[in-house]
Amino acid sequence: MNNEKIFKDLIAQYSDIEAKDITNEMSFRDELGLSSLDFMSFLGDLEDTFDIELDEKKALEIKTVGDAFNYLDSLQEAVVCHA
Amino acid sequence: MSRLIRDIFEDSVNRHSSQNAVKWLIRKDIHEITYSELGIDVKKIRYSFEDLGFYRTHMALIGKSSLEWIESYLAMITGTQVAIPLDYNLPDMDLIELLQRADVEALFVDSDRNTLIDAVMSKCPKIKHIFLLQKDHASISAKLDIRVQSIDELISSAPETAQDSVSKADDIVTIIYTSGTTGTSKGVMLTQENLSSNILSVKIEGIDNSVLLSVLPIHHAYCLVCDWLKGLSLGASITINDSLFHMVRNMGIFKPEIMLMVPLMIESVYKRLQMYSDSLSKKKIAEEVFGGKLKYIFTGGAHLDTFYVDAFEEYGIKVLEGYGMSECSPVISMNGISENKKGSIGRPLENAEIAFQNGEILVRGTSVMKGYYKMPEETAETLRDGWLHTGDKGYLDEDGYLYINGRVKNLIILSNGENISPEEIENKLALEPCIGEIIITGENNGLKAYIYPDQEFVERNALDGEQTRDEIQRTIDEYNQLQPSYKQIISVYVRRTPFIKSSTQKIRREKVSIEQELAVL
Repeated sequence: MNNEKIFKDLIAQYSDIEAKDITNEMSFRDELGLSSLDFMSFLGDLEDTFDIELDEKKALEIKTVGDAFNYLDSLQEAVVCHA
Repeated sequence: MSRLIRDIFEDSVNRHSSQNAVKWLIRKDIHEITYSELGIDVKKIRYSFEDLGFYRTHMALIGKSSLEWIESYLAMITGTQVAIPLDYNLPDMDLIELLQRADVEALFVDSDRNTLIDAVMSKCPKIKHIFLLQKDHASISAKLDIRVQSIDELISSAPETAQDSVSKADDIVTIIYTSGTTGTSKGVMLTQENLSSNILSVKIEGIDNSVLLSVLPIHHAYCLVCDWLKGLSLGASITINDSLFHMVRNMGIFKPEIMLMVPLMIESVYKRLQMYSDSLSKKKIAEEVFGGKLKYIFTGGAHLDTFYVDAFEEYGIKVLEGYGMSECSPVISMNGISENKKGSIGRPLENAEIAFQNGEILVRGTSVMKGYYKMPEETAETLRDGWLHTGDKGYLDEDGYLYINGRVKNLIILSNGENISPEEIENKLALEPCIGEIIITGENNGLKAYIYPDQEFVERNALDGEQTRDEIQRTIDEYNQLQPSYKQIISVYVRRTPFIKSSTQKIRREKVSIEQELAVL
C-alpha cells in the first residue's frame, strides 16, 4: 500500500467522507469536518503509523490534505537523507 | 471556620506521603514524585518567595502542564501570593497586555518562550523577576534590573527556615482570565475560601488514591481545581498528558481510572472507539483505547449529547456531567457517582444556592468570586445583591437536578469548553479596511464569519466579487495565523447585502444565516 492510500485511509476514519473522495485541496476543519481534537489525534496517528516526529508548531499550521501530505513527504525525505 | 488551601494540601501530603503525587513523561521515560517530595518542594519555593521579599505579589504562570508549573502555583496559593495562570496559546502581544493589566511583578514561564521573554523585558517594566519553569535557559540572558532564575534554582537556594506566612480566608489568591462579552477578557478574583470550599464541596465518593490523567490545559479553572487541587486533596496520582497528539497512547501508558474531559474530547475518543472492528468485544476495545482501567469521565464546560453517556456506558465507562464557570471557582453542580441523572448537569454543590430570574440561573455561596480585577462596572453587572448572574438559562427538576436550556449573553460555547466572545473578534476584524460589517457565530464546532465587504474599499480598488472574496480570505488567514486554534475562523461567508439591523442600528444576530440572505436576494 502506498503512503497516499494509508494517509487518506487514516483521514477517512475521522471524517464522513470516504478515502477515495478525499482530494488534496480539502481543508481538514471546514470540508472534512474534523474538530481541532480529531485533527490532533490524526497527527498522533500519523506519527505512530509513519514512525516520525512532528514539529507541533508546524503541524498545527497545516490546513489542507495537500499541506499535510507535503509535510509528511518532507519529513520522510529528511529521514532518508539522514540514513 | 473555613479551611485554608494550605491545610487541605498539607493534610493530604501527610496522609499520602509515600504515594506518587505526579507522574509525567520525558520522551518515553516515566518520571514521578511522591506527596512527601512534592510537599517539600512547595514549601521550599514558598520560603524562597519570602526570602526574595514577595508578599501579595501578582505572579503569572505561562506554560503547559508540568510538575514545575503546579509546584509554583501551589507555593503561591498556600503562601501569600496572587497566582495568575494565563493561556500559553495566546499570541505574545495578548499575553503582554494581560501581564500589564494584571499588574504582574513576577513571571513563571516555559523556558522555550524566548520571544515572549524578550517582549516582557522590554514592555513590562513592573516585572522584575522571571522564573523559568524548566532548567535549560542558556539562551536567555538577564537584563540589569531583571533577575532570571529557574525553579530548580529557587528550590535549591531556599533558606532553611522562614516565617512562612499564609493569606487569610478572604484574601485573593488567584485571578483567572475569562472571555468577556464586552470584548475584553476579565480577571476573575478568587479567594482562599472560594477555592477551598469548592475543593471540599465537590463530593466524589470511593475514588481516593486513584490514577487520574490530566488532559485539559492547566490554566483552565476546571482542570486546575478539579484535576489538580481536588485530585491532590484525595491522594490521587495525577499523570500528565504531554500532548493532545498522544492522548490515546498516554491512556495506554498511565492506565487512568478517572479523567476530566470537555465534550469535544469525548466526541473525538468516540470516533476512535468506532475505528475498531466489530469482531472485538467492547471490553477489549476499551482496554486498547483507555488502558483498561478507566471507570469515570467527568465532563463540563459545554453541552454533551446524552448519546455519548449511553455509548460510553457500553464500554464500561460512566460519563458524569457537571456545570461551572471560573466565577464560581468553578463547579456549581455535578452528577455524582452514585446519584446522577442523564441529561442534567447534576445537583448544586452543598455550598451553592440556586435561584432564577427570568429563567437565568443565579448562584450565591462561598465559591462565588469577589469580582473582576479592576472592572467595577462588569462586576456590578454580574454580581447583584450577592447573586452571580451566570448568563445561562435553566431550571431545577423535582429531584433537585439542574438543567440548562439557553443563554442570555452572546458567548459562543465550543464543545472544547472554550468560551468565545464574538464581539471581541468582531471588534478586532472590523478595523480591517476590506470588512464593512461582520458577525461571528459558532457552527460545526468552530467559528464562522459572516462578512459584508466595505463598499468604499471595493469601489476604490475596483474589485469584482471573486477578488473581494480573495481579499477577505487573505485578511482572515492573516488573523488566524496569530490566534490559538480555538479562536481561528474556519469558515467565511461573504454577503452580497448588508445585515438586517434593529431600530438602534445593531445587527440582528438571529438573522445572519445564509438562508436568510438568499431569501431576500
